[in-house]
Amino acid sequence: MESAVEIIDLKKSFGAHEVLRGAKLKVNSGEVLVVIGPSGSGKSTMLRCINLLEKPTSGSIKIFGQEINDKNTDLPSLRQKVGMVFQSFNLFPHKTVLENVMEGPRTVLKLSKPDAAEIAMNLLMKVGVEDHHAKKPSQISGGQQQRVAIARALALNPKLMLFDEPTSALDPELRAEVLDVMRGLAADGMTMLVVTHEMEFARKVADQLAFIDDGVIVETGLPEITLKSPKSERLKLFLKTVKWGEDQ
Amino acid sequence: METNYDWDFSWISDYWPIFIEAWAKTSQVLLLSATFSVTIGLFVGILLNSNKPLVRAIPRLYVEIFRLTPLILLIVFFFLILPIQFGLRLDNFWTGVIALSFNYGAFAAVVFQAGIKGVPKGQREAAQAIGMTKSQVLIRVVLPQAVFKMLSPFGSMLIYLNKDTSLVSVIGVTELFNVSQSVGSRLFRNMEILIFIAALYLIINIPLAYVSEYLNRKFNSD
Repeated sequence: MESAVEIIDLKKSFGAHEVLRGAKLKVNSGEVLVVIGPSGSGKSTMLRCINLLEKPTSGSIKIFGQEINDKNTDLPSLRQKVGMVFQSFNLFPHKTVLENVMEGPRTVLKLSKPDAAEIAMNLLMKVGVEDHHAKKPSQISGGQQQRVAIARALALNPKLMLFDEPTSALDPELRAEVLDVMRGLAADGMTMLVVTHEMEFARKVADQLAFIDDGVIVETGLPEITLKSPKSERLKLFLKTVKWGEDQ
Repeated sequence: METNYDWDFSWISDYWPIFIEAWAKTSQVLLLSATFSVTIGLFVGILLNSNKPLVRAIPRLYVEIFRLTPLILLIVFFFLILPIQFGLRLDNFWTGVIALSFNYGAFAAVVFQAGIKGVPKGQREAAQAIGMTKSQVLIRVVLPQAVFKMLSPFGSMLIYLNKDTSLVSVIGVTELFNVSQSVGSRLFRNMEILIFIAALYLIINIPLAYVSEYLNRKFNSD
């Protein structure tokens, strides 16, 4: 199987503090990989290294076979291929919902306004917020905002989607609508790398589960098996501390 | 209280065209200096936010020198140095505009710097994450949001600038204050004339104050 992401010996320090200490991970094309781990374990940093929002200190990251930890990497074209959804949505507050989704096609892909609007509207329908297309982000709920943020990332037709704790800033009752959209994307065959605390989602949707702690990937495997019978002591300990999904 | 002074505003009927002309000159100085200082401020403010210390150094030096020296000193200094050192024979009007623009440009730079810095980091990251280049991020995402936050300081800046146009009178620009002095020495009605031109400054500055306050409330209410 073609690998979408291959991370080898990834290290990242902030000043004297080493957050990633040789992480290793492989995501196959069409697969959903969920990363779990305690806060401060480096899971967000690892994700942010994949689209180079953080510059790795050392190590190799290959995206569809191409090394990106290289000073010659063209950031805009890398980021067109790799969509990202943030914990705090980060929609553009001065633009409407529709304009938020049109922004990538307009500015980056240089599409005409009608073409960009058509793409954006279709994506808003896909994530179920088309009725709110003329509103500003501040006028819709957090769950709706996050779905718009997913549409905004999809508008560039990425081959890989990164999710950085997409439901952590949401009230429990709003999480399901975001997770549903993500489930739909996974069913469509999108390659996804998801950092989350949603254990239900991990168990049901992930093809692979990775547990990160203290800057290294401690354990990877099928979610069902890994969650039921963790091999490492650290994962056993971690699983005792996590809250399971609200939809149980 | 001294009460035997006879207030007399009857000169207005003869002299108002002179004052309107001076007022127009004041307004030209205001508009040109405002345009130039905002332009200077935009570029210097962007450079001040660079993460490279070398890129920041010269803009920083410019801002500190021009912000922290008396404006009247700058005006007279430009009046002397432009022809003597640079061979630039500008008329007094443009010399005044340039001095005001450099001084207010330093203020505008600080306002832009703070405005740009005030846009949350997540906005920049979200824009980068959809593949925007650095300049696209700045023009399409950061600056439009920064500008709203700057409405109030820019309003104050324009008000101060309008008042400070009076300082170019020292190099002989025939704007409101300069004309008030020459007409005053002819008519011996200096107090009345000052009251009259004060009203002309207020006609510009009162609406400016209210409009900037209104816009600030409208866009920064949440």
